Amino acid sequence: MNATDADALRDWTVGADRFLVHRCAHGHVWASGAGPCPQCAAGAVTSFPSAGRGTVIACTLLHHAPDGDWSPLLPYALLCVRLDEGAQVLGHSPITHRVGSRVKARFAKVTHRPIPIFEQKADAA
Amino acid sequence: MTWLLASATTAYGRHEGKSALALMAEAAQAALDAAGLEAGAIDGLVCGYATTLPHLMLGNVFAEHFGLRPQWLQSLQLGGATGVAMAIAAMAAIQSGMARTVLVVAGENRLTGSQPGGATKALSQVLDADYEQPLGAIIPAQYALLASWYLAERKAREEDLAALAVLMRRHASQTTGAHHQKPLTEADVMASRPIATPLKLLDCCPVSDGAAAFILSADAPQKGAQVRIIGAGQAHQHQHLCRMPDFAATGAVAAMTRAMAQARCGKEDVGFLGIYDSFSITLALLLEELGFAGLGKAGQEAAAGRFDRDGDLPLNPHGGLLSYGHCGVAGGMAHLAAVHHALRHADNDRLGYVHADGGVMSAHAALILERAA
Ligand SMILES: [Zn+2]
Repeated sequence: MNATDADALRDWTVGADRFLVHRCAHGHVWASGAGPCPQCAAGAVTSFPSAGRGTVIACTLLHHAPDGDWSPLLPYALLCVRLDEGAQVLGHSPITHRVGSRVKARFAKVTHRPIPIFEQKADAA
Repeated sequence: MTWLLASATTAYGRHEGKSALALMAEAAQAALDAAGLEAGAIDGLVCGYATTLPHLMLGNVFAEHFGLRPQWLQSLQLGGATGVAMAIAAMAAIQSGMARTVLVVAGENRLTGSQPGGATKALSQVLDADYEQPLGAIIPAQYALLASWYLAERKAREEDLAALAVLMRRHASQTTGAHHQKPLTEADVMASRPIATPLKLLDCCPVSDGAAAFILSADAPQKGAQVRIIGAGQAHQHQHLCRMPDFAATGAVAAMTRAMAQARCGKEDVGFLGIYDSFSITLALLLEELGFAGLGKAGQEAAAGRFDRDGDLPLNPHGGLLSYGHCGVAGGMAHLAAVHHALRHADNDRLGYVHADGGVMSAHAALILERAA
């Protein structure tokens, strides 16, 4: 793999401000790393950046934090979002969002590293 | 044929000063006493893990501690599904002839013996290190995500989840040795402090000390009601929530279907349930995916008495993880012990169904029990 290919496979977990969506030959999509398809073990036939827009599947407002880095931010939200490209991702938000609402991700440092932060978007439709 | 000779649990709750090994030995001895066996009759051993005693060879350590010299030994780690999966492993060893009489044991002093934050840290392994932990996630938040989806998708109310916690407390209040016995109302659950919305403190199981043990054998019990295990199944479709494709099809049905195919039975033959209940939402999701409650209706059916001890389909008669208590692997063994007890004293010949999940609805293990005529 040359440097350009490696860059093309970078997502927010390694410092690129985006979700990267992978699709296998069976049409499964995921955005949780470039490894084998979590549903069928096939490799990705295509990988492409997401526009970051999606619909909230689930959202919780945390009143307990995993550690002292996170506790000053309480309460904060954790969301599960179906991206418009079909993949399911988790993200952060300072506020809670209703299931079914439209959101768009931006990427910014929270505690130690950049993470996806979802914001309500009337225009994300 | 695999017979469940005995099952035993210690009281769950606070056992100040008792080690994981001491608790395991207490449960193992209680199971031997209940079976009327000496330790020398045990030729197989299955152990779980203990977060307060992380060890590469916990099974060997326990065998030495308890004076066993098994010819077959396994240690298992499948999170909350471990207890049921250990019984499945014992069954496989007996059916293959590698052992004749197997002790299954787990326990720990998770409440009084954990380093501050120790149990939470060990449990956070269940979260994906790259895609979940960096977001400030905790396990209750993963289940809270499922709960928020559940309430919206199935048009249920938070009070419906509370009703399941209330039922578990009612059963625990009638069970000697339960960690929490003070009766609860839906209003109490609703008023308890938020952990991760919509889950509140009383939607979450407590942390307890305790241990449990089973004895499975190729030989039928000499006295008392004879209960055998006639079907077992597992399913493992994902580990992390971020890779869980369908919240409504987690693998629970796949595990149950495999167990029922082996037992040659159907859901209509089941009369006693032991279903994993780490959170109220865990119980709702499992009951509904398995088809023991209508979609979105688990709480309402519980409130209407369907799952009471004397209801149509008694559920977790000991009070479950939510109120009997959760001491890790043994927490998920108490459901099997409770269903075993219910079958032995039942006035009908309906089957027992026990189901546990580990991780975030990740590892599923199912067992079917039958009282011999
Ligand atoms: Zn695939």
